[in-house]
Amino acid sequence: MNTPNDPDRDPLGLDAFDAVEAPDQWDEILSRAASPTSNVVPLQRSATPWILAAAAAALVVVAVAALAVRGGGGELPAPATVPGGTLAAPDTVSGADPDDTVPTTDVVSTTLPATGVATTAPPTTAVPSSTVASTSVPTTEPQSTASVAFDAWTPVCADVSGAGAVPASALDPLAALGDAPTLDIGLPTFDGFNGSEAPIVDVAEVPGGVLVVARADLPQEPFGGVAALAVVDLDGSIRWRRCLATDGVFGYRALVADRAAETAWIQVVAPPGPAELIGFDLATGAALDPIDVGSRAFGRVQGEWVVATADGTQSTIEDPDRLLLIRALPDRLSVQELPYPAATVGRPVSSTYIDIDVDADIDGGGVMISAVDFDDARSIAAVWSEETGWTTDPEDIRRLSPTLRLPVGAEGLEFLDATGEPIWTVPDFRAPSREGFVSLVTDDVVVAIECASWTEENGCAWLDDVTPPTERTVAFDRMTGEELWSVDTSRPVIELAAGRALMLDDTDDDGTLDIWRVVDLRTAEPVDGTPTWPSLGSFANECCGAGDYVWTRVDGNVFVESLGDRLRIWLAPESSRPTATVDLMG
Amino acid sequence: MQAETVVERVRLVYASDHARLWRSIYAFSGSREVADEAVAEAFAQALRRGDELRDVAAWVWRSAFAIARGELQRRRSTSNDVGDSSFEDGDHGELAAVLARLGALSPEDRELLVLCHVGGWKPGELAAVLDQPAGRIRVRLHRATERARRILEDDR
Repeated sequence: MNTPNDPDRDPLGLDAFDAVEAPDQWDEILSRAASPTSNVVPLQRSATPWILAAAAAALVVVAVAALAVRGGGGELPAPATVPGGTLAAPDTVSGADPDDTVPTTDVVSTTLPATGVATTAPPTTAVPSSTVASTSVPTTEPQSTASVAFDAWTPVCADVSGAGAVPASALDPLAALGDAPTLDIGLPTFDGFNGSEAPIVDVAEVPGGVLVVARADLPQEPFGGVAALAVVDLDGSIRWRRCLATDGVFGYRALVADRAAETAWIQVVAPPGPAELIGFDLATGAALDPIDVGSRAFGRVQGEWVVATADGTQSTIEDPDRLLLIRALPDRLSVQELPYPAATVGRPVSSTYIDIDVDADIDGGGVMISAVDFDDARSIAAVWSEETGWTTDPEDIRRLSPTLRLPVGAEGLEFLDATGEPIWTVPDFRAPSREGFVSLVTDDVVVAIECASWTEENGCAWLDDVTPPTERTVAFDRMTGEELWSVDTSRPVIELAAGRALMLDDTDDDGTLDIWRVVDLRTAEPVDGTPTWPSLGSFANECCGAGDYVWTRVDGNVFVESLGDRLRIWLAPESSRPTATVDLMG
Repeated sequence: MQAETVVERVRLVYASDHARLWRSIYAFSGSREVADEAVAEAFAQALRRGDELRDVAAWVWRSAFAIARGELQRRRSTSNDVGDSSFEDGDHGELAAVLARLGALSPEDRELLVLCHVGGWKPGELAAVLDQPAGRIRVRLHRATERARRILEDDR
């Protein structure tokens, strides 16, 4: 079917494959389908990378999980990469099963650091174990081992040990930002698949500073990846730095307890080996023994929580399989072993997505876990909480965070609970078809961009060759859907704390969004006495592939601005200090 | 859905997509053996799932690549070879050269270029197969093409 490809678009000349004759496999396919167990694929895969990639994609998927409950868009395939996979009977469980939970185990590591965490890592502490617990967290000085992996960074990464002192800091909530960033941190580069590249980074607030995790995928063997961890104190000094190498995959999102954290935990997955969590003493940088969580994959980190699930090296979820609900406490991990919900047992591992909701409506706080069925229109198969265990009761499912459904075109706007039922709707809302900022959901307000020039005939088309469609920004009350305010242009919004946000504004009504202001999200009115910043070069959240490198994020009381080659750390005005410029490898 | 209907539904996808899919997996993996296995298994799983699948074609494509990725990873993890031995498949001439260039790409770039230029998918259509926004796929494709062009220039 291919015509010769345009060499500009197909420089490798892949149309050469048009002449390759494919075998006729229909009879073999029928035979395999009829005898699934007799024709097991001899591919003993380690599907961890696939699960990790799926988990990354699922960060988006889970946000719209509730949408498809109503029969909308759940048509994406869920590939089981090994044979088998029969549908289990519908889950009819309601209420807590006494066997649903297993007592929580506190886990701390016992010994020894390891610079250059690798497949040669020392024996690990495996969880779950009903008796794993020790009383202290011994630390030792990190040992630097010269390795080509550390040379992979530019500048070269060298370990720095902390002196054991943690500067005192009590940061104010981010109801606004200071005039200037408190830290301007230069990031290293590495020689990657695409020449000199910037690392993927994450930042977490820790007592007295910020933890920066930088991760790089290297093209050469045997070091498939390197990571650098550093705590940067708010005065710009490097408290400690660790240089790590592995042939596996580093989870670059650190698991850190609340502001009193003493240890930061980093996820390490080295397929086909076990997944691990390695703790780093936030005062010294000393590494603790890796904690082996078995052949599992990590879900997305949600604050101090993460869930570890079956990693796909098995085809289906079996009854003995267990999830691990992991929480970082200041000085140790809490690991809770949970069964899978009945509805998922016997189903392909890839058909179920497990996620944590830290904002669920739980009396007295806590988290909910949701099991999303990818094969059944991404419906919620069951939810778990400490109080209920696994349940399919709709009233419990509705405790999960609601979802904004904002399909492109004329379908309107819907704010849905997790069963897929509307909480409120705006039927005549017309969402634009483009990339970039389109919506924000906070605890109190929903902001969405509408296509103002939408017509039945042309949709949200450009008005002519050079004139894009017009847009407006509308804010709704989260509880009721009442329209709070609107403006006749598209205004990207970034949430801060205390009901405030950064919003782009047009200072002289010339159509140019040239300034960022702090506004009250319920009124869009600027907050008196707060600084403004030029739009050019400030607070960008890139889309379309660049979003890995250029983004903003709030963690605790720090506002992180990633610019690709550097990080800027902003604090509340009362906590801000004159900008300290520092090199992460300096 | 009746079994005959399921078979006919998958059969229609087989008729329209099998050859392109097999060539795509072959180009991606550099191995006829992997292509044989991944494509046959993906179609067989589709048959077993019956009317669970709403979009058989997208599911089969995605599954076949997932199976092939798993096999390539398994081969790498069990082989002492640093390189990708799959790309030593006995092909000669132009095809061998193309396979060698493909082997120099990252698996992500290779998959995307193969889907577009061997599989015949347009970037907008790939959103359903890769479960990614079309805009992101276009950006990834652009960058992969640039890297492929540099590889070709380095060869000259």
